[in-house]
Amino acid sequence: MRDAQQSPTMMIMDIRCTRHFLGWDQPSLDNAARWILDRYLQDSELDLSDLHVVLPGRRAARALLGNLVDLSEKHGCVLIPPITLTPLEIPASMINIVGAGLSGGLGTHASPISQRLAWIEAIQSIDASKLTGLLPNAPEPDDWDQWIGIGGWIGGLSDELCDAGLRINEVADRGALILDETESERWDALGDVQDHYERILKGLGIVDDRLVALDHSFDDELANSSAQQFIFIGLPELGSIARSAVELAGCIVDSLIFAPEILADRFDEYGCVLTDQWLKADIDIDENRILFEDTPSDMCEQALAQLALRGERMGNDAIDSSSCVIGLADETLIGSLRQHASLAGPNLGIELHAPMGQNASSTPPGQLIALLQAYLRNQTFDSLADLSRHPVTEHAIATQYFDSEPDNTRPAAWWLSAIDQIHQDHMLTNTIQVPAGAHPQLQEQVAFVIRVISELLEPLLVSPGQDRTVVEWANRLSDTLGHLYKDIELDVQSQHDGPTIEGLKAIRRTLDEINDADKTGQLMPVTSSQSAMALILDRLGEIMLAENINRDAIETLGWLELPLDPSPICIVVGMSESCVPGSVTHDPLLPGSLRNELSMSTNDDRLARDTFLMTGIHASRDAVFMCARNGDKNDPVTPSRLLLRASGAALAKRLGRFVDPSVDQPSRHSLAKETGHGLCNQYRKTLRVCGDYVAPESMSVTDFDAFLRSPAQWYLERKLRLREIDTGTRELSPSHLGSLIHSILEAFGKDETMRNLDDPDSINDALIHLLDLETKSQFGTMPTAAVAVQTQLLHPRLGWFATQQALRRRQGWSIAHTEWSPEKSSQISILVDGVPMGLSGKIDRIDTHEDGRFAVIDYKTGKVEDALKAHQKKDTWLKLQLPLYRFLVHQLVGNHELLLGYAGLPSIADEEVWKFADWDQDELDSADETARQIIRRVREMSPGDVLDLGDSPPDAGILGFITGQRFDVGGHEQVRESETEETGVAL
Amino acid sequence: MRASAGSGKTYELTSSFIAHLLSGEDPSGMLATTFTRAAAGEILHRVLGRLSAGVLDEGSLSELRTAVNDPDLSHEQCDHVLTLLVHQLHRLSIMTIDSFFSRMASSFSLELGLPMSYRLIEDDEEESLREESVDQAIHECSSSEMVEFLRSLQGERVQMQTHSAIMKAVGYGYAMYMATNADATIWNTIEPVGHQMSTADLDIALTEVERASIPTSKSTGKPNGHWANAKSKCIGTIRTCSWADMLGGGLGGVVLKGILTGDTPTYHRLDITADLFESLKPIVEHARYVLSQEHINRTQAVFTLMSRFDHAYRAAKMSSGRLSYEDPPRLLNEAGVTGELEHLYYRLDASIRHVMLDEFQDTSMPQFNLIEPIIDELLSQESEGRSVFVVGDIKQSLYTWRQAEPKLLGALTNRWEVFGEKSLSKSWRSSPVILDAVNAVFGDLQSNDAMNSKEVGALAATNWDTDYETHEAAKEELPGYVSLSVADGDEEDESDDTQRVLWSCAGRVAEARAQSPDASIAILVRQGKHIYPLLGMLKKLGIDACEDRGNPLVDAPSVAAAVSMLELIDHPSNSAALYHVRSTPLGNIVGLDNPNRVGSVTSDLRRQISLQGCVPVLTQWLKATAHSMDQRGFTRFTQLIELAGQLQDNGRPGAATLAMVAQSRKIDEPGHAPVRIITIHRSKGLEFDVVVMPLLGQSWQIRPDTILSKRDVPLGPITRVTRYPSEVMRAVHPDLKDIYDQSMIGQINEELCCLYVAMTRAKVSLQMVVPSDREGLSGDPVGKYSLKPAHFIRAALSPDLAASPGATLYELASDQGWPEGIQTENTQTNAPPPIPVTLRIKAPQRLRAGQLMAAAPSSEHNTTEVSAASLLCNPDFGQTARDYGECVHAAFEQFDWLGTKPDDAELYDLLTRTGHDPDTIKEALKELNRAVESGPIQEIFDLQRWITNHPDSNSMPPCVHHERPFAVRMGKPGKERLVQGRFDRLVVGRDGTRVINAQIIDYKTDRGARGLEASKLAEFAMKHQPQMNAYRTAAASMYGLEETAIEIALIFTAAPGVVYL
Repeated sequence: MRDAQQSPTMMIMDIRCTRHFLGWDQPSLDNAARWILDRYLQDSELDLSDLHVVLPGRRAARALLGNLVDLSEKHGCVLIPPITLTPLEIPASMINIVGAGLSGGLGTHASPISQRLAWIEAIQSIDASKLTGLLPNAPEPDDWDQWIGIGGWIGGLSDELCDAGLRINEVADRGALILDETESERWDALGDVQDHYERILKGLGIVDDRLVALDHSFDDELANSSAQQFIFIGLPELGSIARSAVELAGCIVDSLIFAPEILADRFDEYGCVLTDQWLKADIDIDENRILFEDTPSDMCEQALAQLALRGERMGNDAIDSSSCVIGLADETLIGSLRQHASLAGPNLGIELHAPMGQNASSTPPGQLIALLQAYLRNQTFDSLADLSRHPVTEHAIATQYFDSEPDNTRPAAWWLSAIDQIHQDHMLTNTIQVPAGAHPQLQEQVAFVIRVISELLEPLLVSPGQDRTVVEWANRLSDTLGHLYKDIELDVQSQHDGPTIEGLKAIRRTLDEINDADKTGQLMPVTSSQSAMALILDRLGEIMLAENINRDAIETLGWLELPLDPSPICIVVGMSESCVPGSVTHDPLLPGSLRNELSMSTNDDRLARDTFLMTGIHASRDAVFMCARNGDKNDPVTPSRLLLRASGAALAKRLGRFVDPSVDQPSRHSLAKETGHGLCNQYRKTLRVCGDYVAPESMSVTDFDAFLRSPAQWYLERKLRLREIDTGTRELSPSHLGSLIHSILEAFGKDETMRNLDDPDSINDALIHLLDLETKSQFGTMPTAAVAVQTQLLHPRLGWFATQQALRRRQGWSIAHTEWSPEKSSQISILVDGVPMGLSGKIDRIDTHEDGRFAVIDYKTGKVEDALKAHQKKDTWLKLQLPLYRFLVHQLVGNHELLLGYAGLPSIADEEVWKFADWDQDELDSADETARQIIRRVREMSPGDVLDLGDSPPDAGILGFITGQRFDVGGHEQVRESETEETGVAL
Repeated sequence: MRASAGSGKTYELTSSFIAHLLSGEDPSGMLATTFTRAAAGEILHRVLGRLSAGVLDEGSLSELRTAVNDPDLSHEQCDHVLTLLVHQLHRLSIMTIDSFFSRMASSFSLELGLPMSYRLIEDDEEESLREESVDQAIHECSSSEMVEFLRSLQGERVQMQTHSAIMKAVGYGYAMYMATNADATIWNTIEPVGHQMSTADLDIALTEVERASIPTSKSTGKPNGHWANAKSKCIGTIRTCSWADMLGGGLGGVVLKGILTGDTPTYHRLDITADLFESLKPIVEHARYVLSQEHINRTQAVFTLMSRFDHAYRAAKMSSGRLSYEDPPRLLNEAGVTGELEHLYYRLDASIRHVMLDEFQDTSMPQFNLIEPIIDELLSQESEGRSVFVVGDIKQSLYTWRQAEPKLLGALTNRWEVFGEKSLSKSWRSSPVILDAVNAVFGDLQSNDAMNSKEVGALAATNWDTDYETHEAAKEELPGYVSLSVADGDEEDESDDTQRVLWSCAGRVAEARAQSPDASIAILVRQGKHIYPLLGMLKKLGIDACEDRGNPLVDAPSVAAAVSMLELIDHPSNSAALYHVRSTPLGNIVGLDNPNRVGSVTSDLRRQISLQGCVPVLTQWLKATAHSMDQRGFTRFTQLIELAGQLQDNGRPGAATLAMVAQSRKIDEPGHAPVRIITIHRSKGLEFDVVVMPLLGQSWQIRPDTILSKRDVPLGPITRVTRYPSEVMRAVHPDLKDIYDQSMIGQINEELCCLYVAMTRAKVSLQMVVPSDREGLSGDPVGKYSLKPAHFIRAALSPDLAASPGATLYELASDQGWPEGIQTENTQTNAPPPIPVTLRIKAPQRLRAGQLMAAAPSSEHNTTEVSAASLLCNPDFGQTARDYGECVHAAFEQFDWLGTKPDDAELYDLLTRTGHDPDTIKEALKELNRAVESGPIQEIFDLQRWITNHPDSNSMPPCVHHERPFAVRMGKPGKERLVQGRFDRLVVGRDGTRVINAQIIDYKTDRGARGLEASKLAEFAMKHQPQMNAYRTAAASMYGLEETAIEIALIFTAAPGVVYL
């Protein structure tokens, strides 16, 4: 280990660097390539194989290489490409160069998974008191989700310090002036963790590249190595380890600086930015190059408008996609930019290319692992439905289904309906146990899906508590994915399959890393399957998959990549203080003051660097810099200090523009959407009767009630039988509750013994028994809290009902029928205009009295309404249910007196349970006439007729959309009658 | 600073901020907090804007001089300070108080045990997490406990639809649980009252009651009938142990009152007999004991349930890495890490020297507890130039339900005497007539008959009046109008009072719209449930209206159809969604014209969404149906796409999530300024030209599902908690009555605040509507006033008038009509519309090589199709295989020709320096030796044979390159790639200086090649053909050779053997 006092800043070196100022009035990498060609071309061969070219990023390296290829082609010479590096890679590369001379070699590098596991092991095994000092709320040992995060965090911390040339255990000494005892102890504890981490890796024969590089960058052995040749190209900063390694090894460096030589005193000996010098510099920029917009979305649209404006100014039909670039000072804006671009252009659909690509966990295979994890964590119909909706699972289930039922022609993914249905009807939010009371066909269908999923996931599905090692889970996951992807072929040329292919490769790489770690003898944590999935997903989240180049797309680039991009037009969005320059202030371990003390990169360093970069970008192309005043949640945004590198009136005016949007309004542009809207809104419809409408020959008693509420609703719900799916509810809806109570009372009424009971307690016992049976049958043993409470709330209601039922029984009434319907052969109908309309219905209960009276009873789930009020408002009939029951029971009742009424389950004892209507014959005749009118209206309906919404059309859900009752559906413009279209569609 | 509505508190706060800057303070030492993001933005913009204006113009400078009390302030000073400020923008702390606590929490994330990557939770996610946690909490107890909880909150008539009741009850309970820092003792401080009796004693006492005499009728001398009935009922309640019924009225209630007051109880104007009183007394005490104990138990049960919920909820949040806004202050308080300010400032990387706290009346105790040490320190060092600026208005305290503690503002001066106080009561917002009405209503509450209708009302009035200062108008000439009118309707009108009031309000909006089309108009409602009915009413009147900042996107039919389609994608059996989509232009576009294709269409769309998210799918729909939409439908659809993008960026890309959020999240329409219907709470901080207020008939009372609390001192902790005590319980237990009354005063105060906030939002016109008072149509209404908003306003503005339908009870108008006031205020000219520009992009003729896609030769494939499973299963993949391969390659690199091959010991030594495992090296060397001993491989490394085989190279020795890098363009135009790679071994033959041929050797260590005979090996090698072709093209391109001049050989070390391609 190197001496802690041997600070990189104290080393005295013989600098062998030559600076070359290439100016900033043209694309920099073109200049650099030409400079290299001039310098190294020999005998028609541009052999750069011994040259180390250091550029700020990978993209710039590729661009330079491309320029060299093009130049070589142009000059007809053979190009042997150089080694290209980023500054962070310099130390490792130096050590590899001299690695052969180092005792024992460097060792195999530890994979990210190995590193993560080693960090977790290291931190978990430090002294308990130190751990408490560091993590007073340390997760439980088996809380792997949290430990994975902690492992990642400490690894990141170690890397960050390494890049600054520090080991963790140096921090306490170096920061002694500002660290109090508690903070020093925390750093000491972390130092122990890092030491332990290295011991773990050493024991496995693997190394952490960064730590090795750190150790050897100050090693004398470097000084003994032969001098290497480096070219630094456009490096605004170098980093202390790289600087040390280059100096120690006495490398010969040429630094190409993209600035005019007149500014030479603003750069150090390696051509890097001198913070003090650049901090003093203003950025001389035209006001129209800095734009402020209200929101990020406005800014993204305006960025594209600025490109369009340039196209128009150039008089071109279109801008060459390679001539412009959008800089993302805030990389999270890519989504919003894409959306605006997708709606721009003559044909809607300008594409953007984002080099940062997507991470592997968001590819379809990554999503599948996340769904597997969710299902393994919590096996519910929600997670089952989500998993079975993934295209690969869907494919696997379909394959199994067609294997077992080759002749069946059910629609694609038919099982989703079964899952939805059972989820919705049985409130199964906490389990996948199908209750016994579910419809047999539904049970069978769902059982099939569960069986297939269980078979596919068999390697991963173990009983709770059966934890296994991560490597075992990795291999089981591999097997599972192998099964799921068994028959799937992918097209390597297709953009469509690209993410899947790359995602699968990343998964393979991750699983191999775990296997390799196991082979090296690394301690494999014993976890649940979902925790192992979390580790794998975490790793996949770190693997970035590049997006394919798209010649038609506008390029987008991160801030640091922009200066070396050759595009002559550059629009930079997201120039806010939180993004560029990045600044670090508060932090749980490394607040700004400690960073300063440790000579890490400071906020001033970043400001100086970015001032240089922005100056260079502005000087070398047509650039615009944009900032939004507010964030996407209306949070205030502070403009980047780079936009305010001015003074006096210029600064004040610019800030005036920032705080007052009206100043810039006269010069604003908007992005035209040439494929814009039409003149009328064809989405706004008048609800009409379908083309294939045929009047019903029979109606149920409740159809009449539905029609009275709203003819449109009757049509949609009763005639077309439209149904919505809502799997989000967690309690029994009124109709669910009604069904539950009807089931209980039906069973009670059908049981010979029960229905004749006249003792309240016995009736109550019977009803509670039936409630328990029915609840378990319908909702299983793990209902939601709300369902459990609802069934509990039924207890006292049933208790009061039992009391009243006993009384009624003792008064001579007995239950004759429950859930009764007339025989089909009886063909009940109402004659209207000489044509019979069949009448159907099911009566909840029919009582008979010893004196010969009959009572038709409709059950209500709560407080019993007054039957009269429920049916009539003044002379208007609201419902016809009870009066129409007369037709159904006519043959049964004959000439006996018939009572029509309700029975309910009020929540308060003492409230009435039975309420009977007392209609006279005139009123009943009026009800019958209303029914006839409805029948006439139903018969008169013809295709194309506008449907009457009535007084109570549905105002929620999709039926609310359809009837135009939800929110403001209906639009703001009148549609001419001729432009309306038929809305009725036969199903 | 006590600042009334519209009096310029933001101005004062920013003046204070600027004054500190001008005095040389470092911006990083200043903290300004408020409660909303918009307000934080306004403060920031005001600071920057006022300083900038001070640099640029004399008028602004002069105004700034007055504001900061520095008559000598110059442009140069402003410039200097502005420059310093912008240099320190990254250290500027102007933020919401929640952001400040989040910053503190992330600075102590390790101590707090926060997940390493957490984010603030979205509302819908929070709801779902809460639901799951409630389920878990209730599964751990019996559902009967939950029923009991609900019953205690809702009374006996518990609704069967329980979910929202449960969630609301948990909301109240949990807020209090957190406010008491989960301290069970605070929930257990109420002691039972009365005395418990044994069953035997109770029986004896009952017998005595039965025997006890009752007063007799003076006329007949017989026992009084009322007393007889009452006694009988009382005995019945004792027998059934219905203690609440017993004490709720009748004799039990009378005796209870007698016990508590010491007076002789009377009933129907007759005194109780001594024997009955004495016999009932112990039973009443027993009833008190039983009821109070039950109440205490139920309060504790709420705590237990909350404790279970808390456990589940915390765990769910931690494991999902999502925190709600109240978590940071709670966790910080729990961890107690912020006590040492030096430590706090170290972590925050800023030493706070000045604090400016806006809207202080909305601060909760947990928040105050975190700020208190900072205030304490700053005030103790006032002489060192440190300061604390607090601004608030106790009359605008609307957030007590969120545990805001309005008393804090008044208590500050007691807690820290060093505080100086100042009041601002001059309004810069409202017209004089509006302020006259505000003063008339709020200036003298103690004289308001509605307030005096209850004792607690009178107490609340006294408190209010103490703090109220008469409002003055800064804009004395601003025209205005105020009215208080009664909703229309007659006895035949069957709609209820609420409906009539709302319709009247809608009518007033229509009139206002007609009078001044450009006016900003708002209807301010107390409860959100009135928003949708009002939207419907305004729609029927043809008025464009929206909720809050906007409606959910589904208010546009085009979006509604898309949302139905999104529903259908996940739920193909949703026939309503299918019908809806098919009845719109979208149906044909997605292919639903044939209903049999629903399954396959939705399946395809699920696949597309899985690959790319919803954005491209929605964009495709928009492109295809844009011509079928009107302007508004198009705009709303583009907003749907934007919403989809935002959700996708937040890792929530699914169709179901988008459908849900599109139906619930309110999104403003750009350029659309309709009438707004907003709850009063949401209107805080806003202002409108015209405000219409429905004043409904509900009483001001505490909701039964509320948990009540009490503090002994305003800045002290909560000392007592109880669930809602019913009227009987308040009669039974004086402590409960005390807590209830205190809470009721708070409740009344908040209701007054709501009315105050609503009235003071109006700039020029304020129109209030009350329901008609049928009983008050004749006679004196005063005696009927009760604690209702309608009565309160009527009692203040027109105390003696009956509220007959359609009547105007109060009206105050300036000489000029109010629409002129709007013209006076809105002087800003309309900005010209932006100039439209069209973006067109074309592909370049030829890309520069640096812009080409990078590719490796090994990425070339034989076919375009690969099996997905094969990508998951590569036997040659993995570290061991890689290590081994690298070793073999490294060994071959050590010599050009066989004659120069080092011996094994030397090779071993060289290879150990590469860091590889010794066993792997030994294995690799063994394989190398085996390979080079085989004839075909030996030939390749034989220099003489090479020369012989390449006679055209003029007997010149070839040049051997190991690991030779290359980079070339490759591929057809339009599909070119920049291919980079390395030749394992490249032998270049020359004729003089001209390269005439090349041999590429590629080493393959595939284990699968082991022992294969020549023909099988050739077959095996075919999989490398595409890669080798790429090598050939590359070499040819580099050296300008025909491809035929390139020889390629694959050396399979495991076979061993050579295949020429």
